[in-house]
Amino acid sequence: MFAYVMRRIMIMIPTLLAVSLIVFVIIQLPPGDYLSNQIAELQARGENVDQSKIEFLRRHYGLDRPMHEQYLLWVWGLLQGDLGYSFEYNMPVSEVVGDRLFLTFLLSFSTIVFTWLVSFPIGVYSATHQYSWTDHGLTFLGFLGLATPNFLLALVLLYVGNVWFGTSIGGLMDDRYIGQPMSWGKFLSVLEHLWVPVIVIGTAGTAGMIRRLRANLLDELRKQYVITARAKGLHPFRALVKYPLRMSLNPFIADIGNLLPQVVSGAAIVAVVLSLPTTGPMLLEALQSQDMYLAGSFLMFLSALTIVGVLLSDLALAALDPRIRLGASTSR
Amino acid sequence: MTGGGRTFRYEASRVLPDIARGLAGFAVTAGPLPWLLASPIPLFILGGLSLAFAIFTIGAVRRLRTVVRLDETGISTSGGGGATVSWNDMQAVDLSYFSTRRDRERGWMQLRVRGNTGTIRIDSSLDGFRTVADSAIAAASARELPMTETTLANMAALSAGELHRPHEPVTQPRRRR
Repeated sequence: MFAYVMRRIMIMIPTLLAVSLIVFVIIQLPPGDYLSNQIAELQARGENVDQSKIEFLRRHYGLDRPMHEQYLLWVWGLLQGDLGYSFEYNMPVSEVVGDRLFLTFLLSFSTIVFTWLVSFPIGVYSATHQYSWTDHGLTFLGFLGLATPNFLLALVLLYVGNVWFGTSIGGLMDDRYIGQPMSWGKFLSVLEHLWVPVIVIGTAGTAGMIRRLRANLLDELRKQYVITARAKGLHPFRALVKYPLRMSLNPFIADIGNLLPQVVSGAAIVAVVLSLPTTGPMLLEALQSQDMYLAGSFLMFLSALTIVGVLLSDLALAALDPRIRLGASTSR
Repeated sequence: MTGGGRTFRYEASRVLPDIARGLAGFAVTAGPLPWLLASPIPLFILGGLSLAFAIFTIGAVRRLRTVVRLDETGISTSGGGGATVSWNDMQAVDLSYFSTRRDRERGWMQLRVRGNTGTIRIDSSLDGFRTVADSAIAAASARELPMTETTLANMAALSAGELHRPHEPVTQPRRRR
Protein backbone atom coordinates (compact mmCIF):
# COMPACT_ATOMS: atom_id res chain seq x y z
CA MET A 1 0.00 0.00 0.00
CA PHE A 2 2.88 2.37 0.85
CA ALA A 3 4.39 1.82 -2.60
CA TYR A 4 1.00 2.55 -4.11
CA VAL A 5 0.66 5.81 -2.16
CA MET A 6 4.14 6.92 -3.20
CA ARG A 7 3.54 6.10 -6.85
CA ARG A 8 0.31 8.08 -6.74
CA ILE A 9 2.09 11.05 -5.15
CA MET A 10 4.75 10.83 -7.85
CA ILE A 11 2.03 11.36 -10.42
CA MET A 12 0.63 14.28 -8.42
CA ILE A 13 3.80 16.37 -8.52
CA PRO A 14 4.14 16.73 -12.32
CA THR A 15 0.37 17.10 -12.57
CA LEU A 16 0.41 20.07 -10.19
CA LEU A 17 3.32 21.63 -12.09
CA ALA A 18 1.50 21.18 -15.41
CA VAL A 19 -1.67 22.66 -13.93
CA SER A 20 0.24 25.66 -12.57
CA LEU A 21 1.72 26.29 -16.03
CA ILE A 22 -1.68 26.03 -17.73
CA VAL A 23 -3.32 28.29 -15.13
CA PHE A 24 -0.61 30.91 -15.53
CA VAL A 25 -0.72 30.85 -19.34
CA ILE A 26 -4.53 31.09 -19.39
CA ILE A 27 -4.50 34.05 -17.03
CA GLN A 28 -1.90 35.76 -19.25
CA LEU A 29 -3.79 35.04 -22.47
CA PRO A 30 -6.08 38.10 -22.55
CA PRO A 31 -4.26 41.11 -24.01
CA GLY A 32 -2.80 43.55 -21.50
CA ASP A 33 -2.56 43.19 -17.76
CA TYR A 34 -4.18 44.60 -14.64
CA LEU A 35 -2.41 47.96 -15.00
CA SER A 36 -3.32 48.43 -18.67
CA ASN A 37 -6.95 47.69 -17.72
CA GLN A 38 -6.77 50.32 -15.02
CA ILE A 39 -5.25 52.84 -17.46
CA ALA A 40 -8.02 52.18 -20.00
CA GLU A 41 -10.61 52.63 -17.27
CA LEU A 42 -9.10 55.93 -16.09
CA GLN A 43 -8.82 57.23 -19.66
CA ALA A 44 -12.44 56.27 -20.33
CA ARG A 45 -13.42 58.43 -17.36
CA GLY A 46 -11.34 61.29 -18.79
CA GLU A 47 -8.73 61.19 -16.02
CA ASN A 48 -5.02 61.80 -16.64
CA VAL A 49 -2.63 58.88 -16.39
CA ASP A 50 0.90 59.40 -15.17
CA GLN A 51 2.91 57.14 -17.50
CA SER A 52 6.02 57.26 -15.30
CA LYS A 53 4.00 56.06 -12.33
CA ILE A 54 2.52 53.26 -14.43
CA GLU A 55 5.98 52.19 -15.57
CA PHE A 56 7.17 52.25 -11.98
CA LEU A 57 4.25 50.01 -10.88
CA ARG A 58 4.85 47.68 -13.82
CA ARG A 59 8.50 47.30 -12.81
CA HIS A 60 7.59 47.05 -9.13
CA TYR A 61 5.16 44.15 -9.70
CA GLY A 62 7.43 42.44 -12.23
CA LEU A 63 4.91 42.83 -15.06
CA ASP A 64 7.69 44.05 -17.40
CA ARG A 65 9.53 40.75 -17.13
CA PRO A 66 9.22 37.90 -19.65
CA MET A 67 6.34 35.51 -19.01
CA HIS A 68 8.55 32.55 -18.05
CA GLU A 69 10.30 34.65 -15.39
CA GLN A 70 6.96 35.76 -13.98
CA TYR A 71 5.83 32.14 -13.91
CA LEU A 72 8.94 30.90 -12.13
CA LEU A 73 8.71 33.69 -9.55
CA TRP A 74 5.05 32.86 -8.95
CA VAL A 75 5.65 29.10 -8.56
CA TRP A 76 8.62 29.70 -6.27
CA GLY A 77 6.43 31.98 -4.19
CA LEU A 78 3.66 29.38 -4.05
CA LEU A 79 6.17 26.80 -2.89
CA GLN A 80 7.07 29.09 -0.01
CA GLY A 81 3.46 29.76 0.85
CA ASP A 82 3.57 33.22 -0.73
CA LEU A 83 0.43 33.46 -2.87
CA GLY A 84 1.49 36.74 -4.50
CA TYR A 85 0.14 40.27 -4.40
CA SER A 86 -3.38 41.37 -5.23
CA PHE A 87 -3.32 44.50 -7.40
CA GLU A 88 -6.96 45.25 -6.80
CA TYR A 89 -6.85 45.06 -3.01
CA ASN A 90 -3.29 46.39 -2.72
CA MET A 91 -2.27 43.73 -0.22
CA PRO A 92 -0.87 40.18 -0.23
CA VAL A 93 -3.27 37.54 -1.53
CA SER A 94 -3.03 35.58 1.72
CA GLU A 95 -4.38 38.63 3.59
CA VAL A 96 -7.09 39.24 1.01
CA VAL A 97 -8.24 35.65 1.24
CA GLY A 98 -8.03 35.63 5.04
CA ASP A 99 -11.12 34.14 6.66
CA ARG A 100 -12.69 33.37 3.31
CA LEU A 101 -10.62 30.26 2.82
CA PHE A 102 -11.63 28.87 6.21
CA LEU A 103 -15.31 29.69 5.62
CA THR A 104 -15.12 28.08 2.16
CA PHE A 105 -13.65 24.94 3.71
CA LEU A 106 -16.32 24.92 6.38
CA LEU A 107 -19.10 25.38 3.83
CA SER A 108 -17.67 22.77 1.44
CA PHE A 109 -17.09 20.20 4.16
CA SER A 110 -20.58 20.72 5.61
CA THR A 111 -22.09 20.41 2.13
CA ILE A 112 -20.28 17.14 1.44
CA VAL A 113 -21.35 15.74 4.82
CA PHE A 114 -24.94 16.86 4.16
CA THR A 115 -24.93 15.28 0.68
CA TRP A 116 -23.67 11.97 2.07
CA LEU A 117 -25.92 11.96 5.11
CA VAL A 118 -28.99 12.51 2.96
CA SER A 119 -28.16 10.39 -0.07
CA PHE A 120 -26.67 7.36 1.69
CA PRO A 121 -29.73 6.19 3.70
CA ILE A 122 -32.12 7.17 0.90
CA GLY A 123 -30.04 5.31 -1.70
CA VAL A 124 -29.88 2.17 0.45
CA TYR A 125 -33.58 2.36 1.29
CA SER A 126 -34.56 2.91 -2.36
CA ALA A 127 -32.49 -0.08 -3.47
CA THR A 128 -33.85 -2.42 -0.79
CA HIS A 129 -37.42 -1.24 -1.38
CA GLN A 130 -37.27 -0.94 -5.15
CA TYR A 131 -40.44 0.35 -6.87
CA SER A 132 -42.23 0.90 -3.56
CA TRP A 133 -44.17 4.12 -2.97
CA THR A 134 -41.44 5.40 -0.67
CA ASP A 135 -38.81 4.63 -3.32
CA HIS A 136 -40.79 6.64 -5.88
CA GLY A 137 -41.43 9.44 -3.37
CA LEU A 138 -37.79 9.77 -2.32
CA THR A 139 -36.61 9.57 -5.92
CA PHE A 140 -39.07 12.34 -6.79
CA LEU A 141 -37.72 14.49 -3.95
CA GLY A 142 -34.17 13.89 -5.14
CA PHE A 143 -34.99 14.93 -8.69
CA LEU A 144 -36.85 17.95 -7.37
CA GLY A 145 -33.65 19.03 -5.63
CA LEU A 146 -31.65 18.44 -8.80
CA ALA A 147 -34.08 20.34 -11.02
CA THR A 148 -34.58 23.38 -8.79
CA PRO A 149 -32.15 26.18 -9.71
CA ASN A 150 -29.80 26.90 -6.82
CA PHE A 151 -30.42 30.65 -6.81
CA LEU A 152 -34.19 30.12 -6.61
CA LEU A 153 -33.89 27.69 -3.71
CA ALA A 154 -31.49 30.14 -2.07
CA LEU A 155 -34.04 32.96 -2.27
CA VAL A 156 -36.82 30.73 -0.91
CA LEU A 157 -34.70 29.51 2.00
CA LEU A 158 -33.53 33.04 2.79
CA TYR A 159 -37.18 34.06 3.08
CA VAL A 160 -38.05 31.03 5.20
CA GLY A 161 -34.99 31.53 7.42
CA ASN A 162 -35.77 35.19 7.96
CA VAL A 163 -39.54 34.90 8.51
CA TRP A 164 -39.63 31.67 10.50
CA PHE A 165 -36.30 31.60 12.31
CA GLY A 166 -35.38 35.29 12.37
CA THR A 167 -32.02 34.70 10.67
CA SER A 168 -30.56 37.84 9.06
CA ILE A 169 -30.61 37.86 5.26
CA GLY A 170 -27.43 36.79 3.47
CA GLY A 171 -23.89 36.31 4.66
CA LEU A 172 -22.45 33.59 6.84
CA MET A 173 -22.69 35.49 10.13
CA ASP A 174 -24.39 38.45 11.76
CA ASP A 175 -23.02 41.84 10.70
CA ARG A 176 -21.57 42.56 14.15
CA TYR A 177 -19.15 39.63 13.82
CA ILE A 178 -17.72 40.61 10.41
CA GLY A 179 -14.01 41.36 10.71
CA GLN A 180 -13.96 40.25 14.35
CA PRO A 181 -11.70 37.46 15.62
CA MET A 182 -13.27 34.03 16.05
CA SER A 183 -15.35 33.70 19.20
CA TRP A 184 -18.04 31.35 20.49
CA GLY A 185 -20.75 33.84 19.51
CA LYS A 186 -19.29 34.23 16.02
CA PHE A 187 -19.07 30.48 15.62
CA LEU A 188 -22.73 30.05 16.64
CA SER A 189 -23.71 32.82 14.26
CA VAL A 190 -21.86 31.03 11.43
CA LEU A 191 -23.68 27.79 12.28
CA GLU A 192 -27.01 29.64 12.33
CA HIS A 193 -26.40 30.96 8.80
CA LEU A 194 -24.67 27.87 7.43
CA TRP A 195 -27.69 25.63 6.91
CA VAL A 196 -29.15 27.72 4.05
CA PRO A 197 -26.12 27.50 1.68
CA VAL A 198 -25.46 23.90 2.74
CA ILE A 199 -28.98 22.83 1.73
CA VAL A 200 -28.92 24.93 -1.44
CA ILE A 201 -25.59 23.58 -2.69
CA GLY A 202 -26.08 20.09 -1.26
CA THR A 203 -29.46 19.29 -2.76
CA ALA A 204 -28.09 19.60 -6.31
CA GLY A 205 -25.63 16.75 -5.77
CA THR A 206 -27.89 14.60 -3.61
CA ALA A 207 -30.12 13.24 -6.39
CA GLY A 208 -27.16 12.04 -8.46
CA MET A 209 -25.64 10.33 -5.43
CA ILE A 210 -28.93 8.61 -4.56
CA ARG A 211 -29.35 7.27 -8.09
CA ARG A 212 -25.77 6.03 -8.32
CA LEU A 213 -25.89 4.27 -4.95
CA ARG A 214 -29.30 2.78 -5.69
CA ALA A 215 -28.18 1.44 -9.08
CA ASN A 216 -24.91 0.02 -7.73
CA LEU A 217 -26.57 -1.63 -4.77
CA LEU A 218 -29.30 -3.14 -6.95
CA ASP A 219 -26.62 -4.65 -9.20
CA GLU A 220 -24.86 -6.16 -6.21
CA LEU A 221 -28.05 -7.45 -4.57
CA ARG A 222 -28.87 -9.43 -7.72
CA LYS A 223 -25.56 -11.28 -7.70
CA GLN A 224 -25.47 -14.97 -6.93
CA TYR A 225 -23.42 -14.72 -3.77
CA VAL A 226 -26.11 -12.55 -2.16
CA ILE A 227 -28.86 -14.98 -3.22
CA THR A 228 -26.78 -17.87 -1.85
CA ALA A 229 -26.18 -16.03 1.42
CA ARG A 230 -29.89 -15.39 1.82
CA ALA A 231 -30.79 -18.94 0.85
CA LYS A 232 -28.44 -20.23 3.52
CA GLY A 233 -30.32 -18.19 6.09
CA LEU A 234 -27.95 -15.26 6.64
CA HIS A 235 -29.74 -12.39 8.36
CA PRO A 236 -30.96 -9.89 5.70
CA PHE A 237 -29.16 -6.99 7.37
CA ARG A 238 -25.86 -8.86 7.44
CA ALA A 239 -26.40 -10.08 3.88
CA LEU A 240 -26.78 -6.43 2.89
CA VAL A 241 -23.98 -4.82 4.89
CA LYS A 242 -21.26 -7.46 4.73
CA TYR A 243 -20.44 -7.28 0.99
CA PRO A 244 -23.10 -5.71 -1.30
CA LEU A 245 -23.12 -2.37 0.47
CA ARG A 246 -19.36 -2.24 0.63
CA MET A 247 -19.02 -3.05 -3.06
CA SER A 248 -21.65 -0.52 -4.07
CA LEU A 249 -19.72 2.21 -2.26
CA ASN A 250 -16.87 2.14 -4.79
CA PRO A 251 -18.34 4.68 -7.24
CA PHE A 252 -19.53 6.68 -4.26
CA ILE A 253 -15.98 7.01 -3.03
CA ALA A 254 -14.58 7.50 -6.52
CA ASP A 255 -16.75 10.61 -6.71
CA ILE A 256 -14.93 12.41 -3.88
CA GLY A 257 -12.34 13.66 -6.35
CA ASN A 258 -14.95 15.44 -8.43
CA LEU A 259 -17.02 16.52 -5.46
CA LEU A 260 -14.42 18.73 -3.77
CA PRO A 261 -13.75 21.23 -6.58
CA GLN A 262 -17.37 21.04 -7.73
CA VAL A 263 -18.58 22.13 -4.33
CA VAL A 264 -16.06 24.97 -4.10
CA SER A 265 -16.47 26.34 -7.63
CA GLY A 266 -20.15 25.44 -8.03
CA ALA A 267 -20.96 27.49 -4.94
CA ALA A 268 -19.77 30.70 -6.61
CA ILE A 269 -23.18 31.76 -7.97
CA VAL A 270 -24.94 30.74 -4.76
CA ALA A 271 -22.33 32.73 -2.83
CA VAL A 272 -23.10 35.82 -4.91
CA VAL A 273 -26.86 35.41 -4.35
CA LEU A 274 -26.45 34.78 -0.63
CA SER A 275 -23.64 37.35 -0.18
CA LEU A 276 -21.43 34.68 1.31
CA PRO A 277 -17.91 35.73 2.32
CA THR A 278 -16.39 32.72 0.55
CA THR A 279 -13.81 32.47 -2.21
CA GLY A 280 -16.23 32.07 -5.15
CA PRO A 281 -17.29 35.71 -5.66
CA MET A 282 -13.71 36.88 -5.14
CA LEU A 283 -12.49 34.50 -7.85
CA LEU A 284 -15.06 35.88 -10.29
CA GLU A 285 -13.96 39.46 -9.55
CA ALA A 286 -10.29 38.56 -9.83
CA LEU A 287 -10.82 36.92 -13.23
CA GLN A 288 -12.80 39.91 -14.50
CA SER A 289 -10.18 42.44 -13.43
CA GLN A 290 -7.18 40.29 -14.44
CA ASP A 291 -5.88 40.38 -10.89
CA MET A 292 -3.50 37.62 -11.98
CA TYR A 293 -1.99 36.49 -8.69
CA LEU A 294 -5.30 36.44 -6.86
CA ALA A 295 -7.04 34.56 -9.70
CA GLY A 296 -4.03 32.27 -10.19
CA SER A 297 -3.87 31.37 -6.51
CA PHE A 298 -7.58 30.54 -6.48
CA LEU A 299 -7.35 28.40 -9.60
CA MET A 300 -4.31 26.61 -8.19
CA PHE A 301 -6.26 26.04 -4.99
CA LEU A 302 -9.14 24.49 -6.94
CA SER A 303 -6.77 22.35 -8.99
CA ALA A 304 -4.94 21.20 -5.88
CA LEU A 305 -8.31 20.31 -4.34
CA THR A 306 -9.18 18.22 -7.41
CA ILE A 307 -5.87 16.41 -7.36
CA VAL A 308 -5.94 15.80 -3.61
CA GLY A 309 -9.59 14.71 -3.87
CA VAL A 310 -8.76 12.20 -6.62
CA LEU A 311 -5.82 10.96 -4.54
CA LEU A 312 -8.02 10.48 -1.49
CA SER A 313 -10.69 8.64 -3.46
CA ASP A 314 -8.05 6.43 -5.13
CA LEU A 315 -6.50 5.58 -1.77
CA ALA A 316 -9.90 4.79 -0.29
CA LEU A 317 -10.77 2.62 -3.30
CA ALA A 318 -7.43 0.80 -3.15
CA ALA A 319 -7.97 0.11 0.55
CA LEU A 320 -11.59 -0.91 0.06
CA ASP A 321 -11.27 -3.15 -2.96
CA PRO A 322 -7.71 -4.01 -4.10
CA ARG A 323 -9.06 -6.30 -6.80
CA ILE A 324 -7.91 -6.72 -10.37
CA ARG A 325 -10.47 -5.94 -13.04
CA LEU A 326 -10.69 -8.99 -15.28
CA GLY A 327 -9.65 -8.21 -18.81
CA ALA A 328 -7.48 -5.27 -17.81
CA SER A 329 -4.02 -5.46 -19.36
CA THR A 330 -1.30 -5.52 -16.75
CA SER A 331 2.38 -5.21 -17.32
CA ARG A 332 4.04 -6.57 -14.23
CA MET B 1 13.04 -24.24 6.90
CA THR B 2 15.17 -26.70 5.05
CA GLY B 3 18.20 -25.79 2.98
CA GLY B 4 16.63 -26.86 -0.34
CA GLY B 5 13.80 -25.30 -2.26
CA ARG B 6 13.72 -22.65 -4.93
CA THR B 7 15.01 -19.12 -4.74
CA PHE B 8 13.64 -16.06 -6.49
CA ARG B 9 14.94 -12.53 -6.96
CA TYR B 10 13.55 -9.25 -8.13
CA GLU B 11 14.75 -8.36 -11.61
CA ALA B 12 16.92 -5.28 -11.64
CA SER B 13 15.18 -3.98 -14.76
CA ARG B 14 11.91 -3.87 -12.78
CA VAL B 15 13.20 -2.37 -9.56
CA LEU B 16 15.61 0.24 -10.99
CA PRO B 17 12.79 2.40 -12.39
CA ASP B 18 11.30 2.54 -8.89
CA ILE B 19 14.66 3.61 -7.47
CA ALA B 20 14.92 6.29 -10.17
CA ARG B 21 11.38 7.50 -9.40
CA GLY B 22 12.08 7.58 -5.68
CA LEU B 23 15.30 9.56 -6.19
CA ALA B 24 13.54 11.98 -8.54
CA GLY B 25 10.74 12.49 -6.03
CA PHE B 26 13.28 13.01 -3.26
CA ALA B 27 15.22 15.53 -5.33
CA VAL B 28 12.09 17.51 -6.21
CA THR B 29 10.76 17.61 -2.65
CA ALA B 30 14.03 17.91 -0.70
CA GLY B 31 15.70 20.34 -3.13
CA PRO B 32 13.79 23.47 -2.06
CA LEU B 33 13.98 22.68 1.68
CA PRO B 34 17.02 24.92 2.46
CA TRP B 35 15.09 27.92 1.15
CA LEU B 36 11.96 27.09 3.11
CA LEU B 37 13.34 27.18 6.63
CA ALA B 38 11.37 30.33 7.39
CA SER B 39 8.06 28.90 6.09
CA PRO B 40 6.92 26.17 8.49
CA ILE B 41 3.91 24.80 6.57
CA PRO B 42 5.66 24.25 3.19
CA LEU B 43 8.68 22.98 5.11
CA PHE B 44 6.53 20.45 6.93
CA ILE B 45 4.74 19.27 3.76
CA LEU B 46 7.83 19.01 1.55
CA GLY B 47 9.92 17.63 4.41
CA GLY B 48 7.37 14.89 5.03
CA LEU B 49 7.19 14.07 1.34
CA SER B 50 10.98 13.92 0.97
CA LEU B 51 11.16 11.58 3.97
CA ALA B 52 8.49 9.35 2.40
CA PHE B 53 10.38 9.31 -0.90
CA ALA B 54 13.58 8.41 0.94
CA ILE B 55 11.81 5.48 2.63
CA PHE B 56 10.35 4.40 -0.72
CA THR B 57 13.80 4.49 -2.37
CA ILE B 58 15.40 2.53 0.47
CA GLY B 59 12.58 -0.02 0.19
CA ALA B 60 13.24 -0.39 -3.54
CA VAL B 61 16.98 -0.86 -2.95
CA ARG B 62 16.22 -3.49 -0.30
CA ARG B 63 13.91 -5.22 -2.75
CA LEU B 64 16.74 -5.38 -5.26
CA ARG B 65 18.86 -7.27 -2.73
CA THR B 66 16.05 -9.50 -1.49
CA VAL B 67 16.15 -13.25 -2.11
CA VAL B 68 12.89 -15.13 -1.65
CA ARG B 69 13.26 -18.79 -0.74
CA LEU B 70 10.36 -21.18 -1.15
CA ASP B 71 10.19 -24.79 -0.09
CA GLU B 72 7.71 -27.34 1.22
CA THR B 73 7.95 -26.01 4.79
CA GLY B 74 7.42 -22.33 4.16
CA ILE B 75 8.68 -19.10 2.69
CA SER B 76 11.51 -16.84 3.76
CA THR B 77 13.27 -13.70 2.61
CA SER B 78 16.88 -12.67 3.06
CA GLY B 79 19.22 -9.99 1.81
CA GLY B 80 17.03 -6.95 2.18
CA GLY B 81 15.70 -7.72 5.67
CA GLY B 82 14.94 -11.29 6.55
CA ALA B 83 11.69 -12.91 7.62
CA THR B 84 10.41 -16.46 7.68
CA VAL B 85 6.88 -17.79 7.64
CA SER B 86 6.31 -21.48 8.03
CA TRP B 87 3.23 -22.88 6.28
CA ASN B 88 2.22 -24.52 9.56
CA ASP B 89 2.31 -21.20 11.41
CA MET B 90 0.75 -19.17 8.63
CA GLN B 91 -2.14 -17.00 9.84
CA ALA B 92 -3.30 -15.07 6.80
CA VAL B 93 -2.67 -14.57 3.10
CA ASP B 94 -3.74 -11.54 1.10
CA LEU B 95 -3.27 -10.93 -2.58
CA SER B 96 -3.96 -7.32 -3.49
CA TYR B 97 -3.92 -5.52 -6.80
CA PHE B 98 -2.97 -1.87 -7.19
CA SER B 99 -3.01 0.42 -10.16
CA THR B 100 -2.31 4.13 -10.38
CA ARG B 101 -4.45 4.46 -13.50
CA ARG B 102 -8.09 5.40 -13.41
CA ASP B 103 -8.98 2.46 -15.66
CA ARG B 104 -7.17 0.15 -13.19
CA GLU B 105 -4.94 -1.20 -15.95
CA ARG B 106 -1.17 -1.82 -15.92
CA GLY B 107 -1.07 -2.36 -12.18
CA TRP B 108 0.84 -4.70 -9.92
CA MET B 109 0.04 -7.27 -7.24
CA GLN B 110 1.26 -7.63 -3.71
CA LEU B 111 1.26 -10.88 -1.79
CA ARG B 112 1.18 -10.59 1.98
CA VAL B 113 1.87 -13.70 4.02
CA ARG B 114 1.43 -13.30 7.76
CA GLY B 115 2.74 -15.84 10.24
CA ASN B 116 3.46 -16.04 13.95
CA THR B 117 6.99 -14.77 13.52
CA GLY B 118 6.43 -11.99 11.03
CA THR B 119 4.95 -10.80 7.76
CA ILE B 120 6.40 -11.18 4.29
CA ARG B 121 5.34 -8.84 1.48
CA ILE B 122 6.22 -9.71 -2.08
CA ASP B 123 5.59 -7.60 -5.18
CA SER B 124 4.61 -9.07 -8.52
CA SER B 125 7.86 -7.69 -9.97
CA LEU B 126 9.51 -10.76 -8.40
CA ASP B 127 10.68 -13.26 -10.98
CA GLY B 128 8.45 -16.27 -10.28
CA PHE B 129 5.77 -14.36 -8.39
CA ARG B 130 3.03 -16.64 -9.69
CA THR B 131 4.78 -19.72 -8.30
CA VAL B 132 5.19 -18.09 -4.89
CA ALA B 133 1.57 -16.89 -4.83
CA ASP B 134 0.32 -20.32 -5.91
CA SER B 135 2.24 -21.99 -3.09
CA ALA B 136 1.04 -19.52 -0.46
CA ILE B 137 -2.61 -19.81 -1.54
CA ALA B 138 -2.35 -23.61 -1.73
CA ALA B 139 -0.88 -23.71 1.77
CA ALA B 140 -3.61 -21.40 3.05
CA SER B 141 -6.27 -23.58 1.43
CA ALA B 142 -4.74 -26.71 2.93
CA ARG B 143 -4.87 -25.08 6.37
CA GLU B 144 -8.41 -23.85 5.65
CA LEU B 145 -7.46 -20.27 6.42
CA PRO B 146 -10.20 -17.80 5.52
CA MET B 147 -9.33 -15.75 2.45
CA THR B 148 -11.09 -12.62 1.27
CA GLU B 149 -13.11 -12.55 -1.92
CA THR B 150 -10.59 -10.03 -3.26
CA THR B 151 -7.69 -12.45 -2.70
CA LEU B 152 -9.55 -15.28 -4.43
CA ALA B 153 -10.53 -13.07 -7.37
CA ASN B 154 -6.97 -11.80 -7.75
CA MET B 155 -5.60 -15.34 -7.56
CA ALA B 156 -8.04 -16.46 -10.24
CA ALA B 157 -6.93 -13.57 -12.42
CA LEU B 158 -3.27 -14.38 -11.80
CA SER B 159 -3.82 -18.03 -12.69
CA ALA B 160 -5.70 -16.98 -15.81
CA GLY B 161 -2.69 -14.96 -16.91
CA GLU B 162 -4.31 -11.57 -16.38
CA LEU B 163 -1.16 -10.34 -14.67
CA HIS B 164 1.39 -11.28 -17.27
CA ARG B 165 4.88 -10.12 -17.92
CA PRO B 166 6.02 -8.97 -21.34
CA HIS B 167 8.24 -12.01 -21.94
CA GLU B 168 5.89 -14.49 -20.29
CA PRO B 169 3.14 -16.07 -22.36
CA VAL B 170 -0.41 -15.64 -21.19
CA THR B 171 -1.68 -19.06 -20.20
CA GLN B 172 -5.26 -18.49 -21.26
CA PRO B 173 -6.85 -16.33 -23.89
CA ARG B 174 -7.66 -12.88 -22.55
CA ARG B 175 -11.30 -12.22 -21.81
CA ARG B 176 -13.21 -9.79 -23.93
CA ARG B 177 -14.15 -6.57 -22.13
